[in-house]
Amino acid sequence: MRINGIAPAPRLHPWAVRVMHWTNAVAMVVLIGSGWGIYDDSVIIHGVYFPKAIRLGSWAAESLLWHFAAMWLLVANGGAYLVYGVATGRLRERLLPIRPRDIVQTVRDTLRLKLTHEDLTTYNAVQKILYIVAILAGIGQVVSGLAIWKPVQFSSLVALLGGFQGARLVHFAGMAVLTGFLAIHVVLSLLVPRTLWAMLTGGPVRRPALPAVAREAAR
Amino acid sequence: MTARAFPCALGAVLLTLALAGPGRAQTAGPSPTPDHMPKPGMSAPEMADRAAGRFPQPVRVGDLPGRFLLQPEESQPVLGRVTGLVRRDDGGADAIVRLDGVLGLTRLGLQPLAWSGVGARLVAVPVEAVALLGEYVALMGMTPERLRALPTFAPGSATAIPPGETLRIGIVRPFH
Amino acid sequence: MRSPFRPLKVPDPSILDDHRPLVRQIERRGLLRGGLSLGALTMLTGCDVTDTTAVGRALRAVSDFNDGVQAALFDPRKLAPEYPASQVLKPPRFNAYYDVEDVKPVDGEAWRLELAGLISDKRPWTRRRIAELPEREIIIRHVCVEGWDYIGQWSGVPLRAFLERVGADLTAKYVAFKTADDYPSSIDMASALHPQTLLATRYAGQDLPDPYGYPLRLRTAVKLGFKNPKWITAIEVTNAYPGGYWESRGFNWFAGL
Repeated sequence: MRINGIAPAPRLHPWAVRVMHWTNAVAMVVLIGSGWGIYDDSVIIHGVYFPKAIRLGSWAAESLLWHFAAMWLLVANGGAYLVYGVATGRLRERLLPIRPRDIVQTVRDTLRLKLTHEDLTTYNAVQKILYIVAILAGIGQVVSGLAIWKPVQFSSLVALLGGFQGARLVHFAGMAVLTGFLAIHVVLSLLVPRTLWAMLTGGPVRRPALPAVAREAAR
Repeated sequence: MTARAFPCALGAVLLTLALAGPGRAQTAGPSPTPDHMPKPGMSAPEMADRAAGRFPQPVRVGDLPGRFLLQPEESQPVLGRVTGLVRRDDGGADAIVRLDGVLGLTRLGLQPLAWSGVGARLVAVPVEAVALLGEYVALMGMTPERLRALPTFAPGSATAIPPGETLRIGIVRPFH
Repeated sequence: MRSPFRPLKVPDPSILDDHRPLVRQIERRGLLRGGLSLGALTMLTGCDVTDTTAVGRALRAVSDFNDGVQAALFDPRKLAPEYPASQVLKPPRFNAYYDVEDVKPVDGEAWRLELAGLISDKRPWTRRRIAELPEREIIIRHVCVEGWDYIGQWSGVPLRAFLERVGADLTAKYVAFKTADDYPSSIDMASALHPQTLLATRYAGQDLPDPYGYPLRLRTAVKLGFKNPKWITAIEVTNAYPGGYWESRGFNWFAGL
């Protein structure tokens, strides 16, 4: 986030972040729904399968078409997000540092149902951890997905994941993590609707970022 | 707060479902064929007749213990686990199957716990009633209800078939 | 030359050439309209190959694009892992587009392998003549598009050796197969020439049992299971996209591992 005289005051979520956020949301929902359809063709956990009503695609071939189309959307959009986040410093600024006492504080607040989230421009420690887990799970899904898609070309990757069924299991577990994240994320954003509004319209104008020392002093 | 959280969570789930969209109720592709489903009350000769049509393949008896017995439907529930094979009085073979205990743990995907043997019992299933599905065995000649209604098999009450022997058991394609 | 693959009279291919820009334009429009617009995502309904909605066309356009990506990712020298004989599943898993009860065994004595297309010696082959060819055994993982897998032990003549022997044009794009169970299939030439692609005649040292494709089937370590047609009756080398049974129903054609 460069601050220069000509640009309008930066919003909490610049347009690029909003576009990437909603693109990612679409890609993830499509990938999860079609993934359930693919899973059902040969279940990993016996007896556990996804009802037809929540699968994307009326049979396996359709689910596969959706999955192998949305994967490009996820990879391109996710790659752009990571490059953007690193280049602008947004990722580091928003997700780091995570201090143990902040975690304790947030957990204590949460248990007391203090979920006010007054200042949208900073994340609490638990939020930071959730976002980092989601990003890592997304990267993990691409890697395990590659192993399942091309188990001969990337045979060493398959071996690393404990064989072909091991790679499927890792991919399934990654889905579970991301679905869990999605559920928490959606519930929390509905509890504090201002956050949802901010991701649509850009949110509050940001104060210039304070250096870490000043931020510490301001607490 | 919690009172508010519930409708919100419900909303989130509904939103996810709405986004995922109801899959069209058509079956464009390989539809589940009810043909392979066991018919209730099949007699022994009928069972043997069906089994003969499943292209019985040689399988080493020692390769069967430990295999899961699956119900022939898309979610492939585990009905039990093969523990060995015994010779029947008529010269045929029975697969000895350990049925899930009363806890129904296999349905929750907790096979390791279920196979600790808590509440489990053994039954003898004619090999004509099962078919090989890759590394699994599928129950083709009787319904799960009939399987669970089989009398308990007492270990040692029949002659075990040595692991080195070869039997011929029918095969079946995946269920979906 | 008579081909078991095509009618005697085919439409003039220049018709397609004349309309290629139009076809391209339609495909591109479908991709943009269906694949990238949010509106399309509200109509997440199914689509098979007969589906002519924008979404269906867009999804299949991406699948065609994925064929190209997979061909680029394919390394013809990369060998699939092989496994010890102790891990071989006997008997192997059976699969087909019909139940096993409906398998129609093929009479090995009467059986002939016919050849067509860009092949100089198109004389049909008998089982005995094929058995005289050099043989290779591979113990490889079979990966099904459904998600299951097993280790299998296959032997037969490498497809490359066979194609060289009959004088096939190895620069052609496709090798296509016809089968006794009416299950057309085809693979790209690079995969056909891969050392772990066999015209398999035996499993675990024994003649192929009937349900697994006796007397001859394809077994390649670099494709998903459904690209391994059983009971092969004819092979054609061609530059015209031949498609396949599942491909025409929406599965991805390249289907490489």
